[in-house]
Amino acid sequence: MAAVLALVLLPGVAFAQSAESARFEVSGGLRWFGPSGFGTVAANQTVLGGGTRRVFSSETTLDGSMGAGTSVSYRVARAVRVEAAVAYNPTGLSTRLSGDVEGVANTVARAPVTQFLFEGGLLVSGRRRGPVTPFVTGGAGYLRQLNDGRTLVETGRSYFAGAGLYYVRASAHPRRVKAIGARVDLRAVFLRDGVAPDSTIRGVPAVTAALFARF
Amino acid sequence: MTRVVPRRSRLFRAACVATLALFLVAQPHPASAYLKFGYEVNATSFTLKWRTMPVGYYVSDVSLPGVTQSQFQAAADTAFKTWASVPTASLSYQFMGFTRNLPGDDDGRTTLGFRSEPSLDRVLASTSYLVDGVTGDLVEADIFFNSAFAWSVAPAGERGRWDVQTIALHEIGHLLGLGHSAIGETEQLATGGRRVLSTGAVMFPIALGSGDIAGRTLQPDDIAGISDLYPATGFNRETGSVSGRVTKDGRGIYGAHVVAFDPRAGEMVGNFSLDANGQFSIAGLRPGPHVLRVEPLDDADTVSFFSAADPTDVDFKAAFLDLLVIVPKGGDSGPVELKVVPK
Amino acid sequence: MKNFCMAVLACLVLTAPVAATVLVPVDLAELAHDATVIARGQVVAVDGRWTDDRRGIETVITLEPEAMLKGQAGGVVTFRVPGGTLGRYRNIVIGAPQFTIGQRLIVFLGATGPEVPHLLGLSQGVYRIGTGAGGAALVVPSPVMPGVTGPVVRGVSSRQPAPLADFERDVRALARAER
Repeated sequence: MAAVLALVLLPGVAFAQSAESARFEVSGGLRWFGPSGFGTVAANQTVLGGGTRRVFSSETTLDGSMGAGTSVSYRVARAVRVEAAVAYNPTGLSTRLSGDVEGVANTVARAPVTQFLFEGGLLVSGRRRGPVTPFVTGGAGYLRQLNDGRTLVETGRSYFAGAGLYYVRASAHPRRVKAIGARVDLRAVFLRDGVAPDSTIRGVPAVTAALFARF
Repeated sequence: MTRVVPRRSRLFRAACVATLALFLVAQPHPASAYLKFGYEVNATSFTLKWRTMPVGYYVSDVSLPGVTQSQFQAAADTAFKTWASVPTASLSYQFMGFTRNLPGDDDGRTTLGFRSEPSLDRVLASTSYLVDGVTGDLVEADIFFNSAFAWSVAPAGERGRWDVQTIALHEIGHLLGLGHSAIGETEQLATGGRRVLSTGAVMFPIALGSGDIAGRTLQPDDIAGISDLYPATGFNRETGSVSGRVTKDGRGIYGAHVVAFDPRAGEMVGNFSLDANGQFSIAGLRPGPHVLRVEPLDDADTVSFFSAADPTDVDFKAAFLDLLVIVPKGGDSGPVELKVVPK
Repeated sequence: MKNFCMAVLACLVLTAPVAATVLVPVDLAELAHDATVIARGQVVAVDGRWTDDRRGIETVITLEPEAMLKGQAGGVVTFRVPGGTLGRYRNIVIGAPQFTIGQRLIVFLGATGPEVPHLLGLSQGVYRIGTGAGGAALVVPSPVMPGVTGPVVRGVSSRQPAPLADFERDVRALARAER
């Protein structure tokens, strides 16, 4: 984070054409994932006549979390990159228990979950304005969520769409690194399966802040 | 030709007595648990279950007003079929014919039917087993339906009459080796007595009420139990279990009722802590996170669940565990501890 | 608390509902009214035998009475329950209460003719006595009393053992009352 701030505060350096022409880009940084709710599931028993009676309620959420991510991209056209990324988020499942008919106190039961997202997508840059270049991105991925102790692995799929900004600076060593900078993006990530109770696609917000280098 | 329920005769059955008198005395020690019954013969523990299939059964040649023996047999057969149709269980049954003997006659035949028994005045139905005290073999299991009550085989049930199929489904669960489930809620009535508010298992010991047919459908707790007792191929590989201890002040307690709730599927499966260390194990669970809830059996006839000699502890408050327990596929969660506090 | 816990461990009370078998629940008033004999005593014998018609096995329990809450008894009180052990075979009737010598009980018995009396409502007709803190005699858990309504909640602090003296006082009153 300090490195990102340093980039912003440094006196401006002329933006070199080489930054745009660089083929490869590697980035690494932080990724925040928003919480995902799985709705309410009641613990029901059968009553005379075949109806149901709720004995307590449960509401389960995959907690929001801060993690890390890294990506590699390759420029296939002037403004288009193909990108592969991995994101790691230590998160957790929380189940809120309430309304117990025998008066047991409301409780939150928790279990840690380790989440990995392996994504691939396209990144399309817009018109550069000084050192800042906007972009849009979209793609899909493979979701892997490991329950506590890795006793159970749940997998699924992800889809994402978002937009962000590059802040690009020319490298001081253009023969080795053509450009460095920071990027931030906000995306909507749509997850299916994994620890979720069903195959409903659920959307969560995600924010990434990373440093990058282009070669 | 059908006949109504006869008065019990007191004839001596020489052949029966002579056969049974040939063998030595043994003292099997029954122990009851929710999912399975167990007993000891000569220091060897046995799970009460049928070791060969199909389970053959007879029906007493007895009719009551409104239910012929053929109608009774059809309802019982449907109940057997309900258990045998559980996809994760492997068991089969066969109707062997009608018999003049009554359920409860120790004749080497598994018999279901109506019977007059004034000394069991508030017993709707009851299952009994005859166990060979030398080999530990299950010789027969009978189910007696009390002819003092009004019964029905109507497809939609009949108000004021007890549904044969519903009660048969519960009792055949016992016949197959299942004990009681404590997943259910009751209330006391202003008119006296007690009634069931709701149940989470066919094997809950009190029926929902006369006329009820909701009890014709097995619930997850029942399915887990019968599958654990007679697992189909792959059942143990595809499901998992939760195990651990229930403790109070650091010491294990016996007889605590533990329920595993799947917050994804909404299913409840229960068991009990069954030793002095407070050990419990709940099997047949879907892989994934589960909530655990523990409560005392302080509203129940504990002998309905355990032996009279077992040191059941009911002095604690009900509670949830604040951890989600992850059930793996084909394995156990690893030990968890449910700490309870005194009332 | 420890003594109380030991008391709870030491005694098992069979209150209204249930038993492995499917029962029709009954409250204490009905038990007290319908019983021909209500006795408190200690188990001195547990014997398996053939039923009168020699078709099954039952167990006869003999109590040395300490008090008669209803009816009269000779030197001992006997009653029978279905199931038991005889010879090579054990007949297990799910829900039939089991007894061991030395247990202290309160039993509600019915009789049909000259036969040995039976427990009313099977397991519902037995209450077991244990010892609480300070040696107080307790009946556990609380019986189903008439007039008390509402959901039965497990684990609440009000579900405590009933003192034996209070229980017997209530039983005597219910036995005398009209229904």
